[in-house]
Amino acid sequence: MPNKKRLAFYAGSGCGGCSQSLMLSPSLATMLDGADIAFWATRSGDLTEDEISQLDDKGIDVLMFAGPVDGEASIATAKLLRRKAKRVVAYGACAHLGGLCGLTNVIPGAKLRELAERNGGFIKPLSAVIEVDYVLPGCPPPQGMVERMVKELFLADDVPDVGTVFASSKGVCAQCDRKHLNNPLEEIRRFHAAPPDPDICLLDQGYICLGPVTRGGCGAVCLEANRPCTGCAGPTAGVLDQGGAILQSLASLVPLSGDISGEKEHRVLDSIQDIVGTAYKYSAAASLLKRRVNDGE
Amino acid sequence: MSDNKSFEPKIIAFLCKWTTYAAADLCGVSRMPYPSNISIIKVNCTGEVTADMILTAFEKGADGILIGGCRPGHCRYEGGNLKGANRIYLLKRALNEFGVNPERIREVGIAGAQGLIFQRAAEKFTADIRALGPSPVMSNA
Ligand code: SF4
Ligand code: SF4
Repeated sequence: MPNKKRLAFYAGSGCGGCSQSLMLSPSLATMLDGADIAFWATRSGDLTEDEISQLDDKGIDVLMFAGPVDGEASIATAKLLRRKAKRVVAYGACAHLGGLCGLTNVIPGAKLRELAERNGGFIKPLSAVIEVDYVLPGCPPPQGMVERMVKELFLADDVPDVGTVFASSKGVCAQCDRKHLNNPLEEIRRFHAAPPDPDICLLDQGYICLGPVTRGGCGAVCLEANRPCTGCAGPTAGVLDQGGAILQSLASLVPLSGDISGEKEHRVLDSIQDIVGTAYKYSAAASLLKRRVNDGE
Repeated sequence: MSDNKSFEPKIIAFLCKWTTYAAADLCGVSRMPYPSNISIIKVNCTGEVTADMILTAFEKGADGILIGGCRPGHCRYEGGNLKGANRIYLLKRALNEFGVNPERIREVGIAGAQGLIFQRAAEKFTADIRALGPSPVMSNA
């Protein structure tokens, strides 16, 4: 077959879900028809630095990189892999945004953070340490987006433009079928207390949903399962800080009581639990503040 | 606390064009100096100051952020300043989680004719930020 592409998959860390998303993809067979595999490493131990060094520079057409980057060692590996690949895909939320692991950048005393510090660093999105050509968002990437990536990267004659995100430029809400009532946010509801009405927008019912600030293209599948969007695909185009964006939306949905002290509004806002885990679930490491700092006290 | 006496705070001020900005402008034309630490960005309403704007200011090295709008109840856009205040209220909670002292953001509501009040507020905020010392955010590569 002419022009078979050489692909590689590397997950130095992360949970293994990203590799699974590709293995389980109906597009896997198509992808393998159009490509040769240089390597498929699902743990950092699967591939040593020496083995990577021996590969030809730019010998890989497309490298899919999953999992977060933290200390010196993983940064060095990412840089070495970058030399070997013509194009690099940040595959999944961890590579794209730091992912769930990024929460350890903010939570004081987190065990994972201690580990990361021992490794000499904080969780970083891949783009903070090497140039990233494409992003496949999601935790793990949903099948529709995986399919699009396979089509555009391995089956098309032209390569996609650098900077392509294999998702929609619109928010998750655009694909969500729930009815809008434009209710004000007067009380924050939580899922463990009572399940939401499956046909009405969660925000309308007082449940926090990151749909408005999260990149769509997933088909709003979580909403179909009566679960909220928790933001795994990162911010919509044009938004820098996904967490800040949802906090600002929530604050705007709280109706003004007319009392200028704001006491009633503050009560609603105070009832939002676990601000960072809610607003920055996947994007803490890619947020504008990036990690917890020590500001005096 | 900063032990660096020569520390000059960088302060970004988002000021509503109808009131606090006009007060700052009045200081200018009346030759009432206020600290040059303050760089003013004119906005239509404090309700239009986004989380991205505030967090970007911190990321680019601001030590303090002054948000000046209309006095409560006097907004040109009905409740724009109050909506903005709710936004800041929630954002401060997040800043706290990220270890950033929420005192680095101050909100004021100053009428256009109150140049003297703006001058004092600017001096006070600059002194308070000087006492807090440099923001640790930018060194956070
Ligand atoms: S993005 Fe999600 S699925 Fe992929 S490695 Fe990270 S935690 Fe696992
Ligand atoms: S906020 Fe959530 S529930 Fe509401 S429309 Fe958007 S995705 Fe659907």
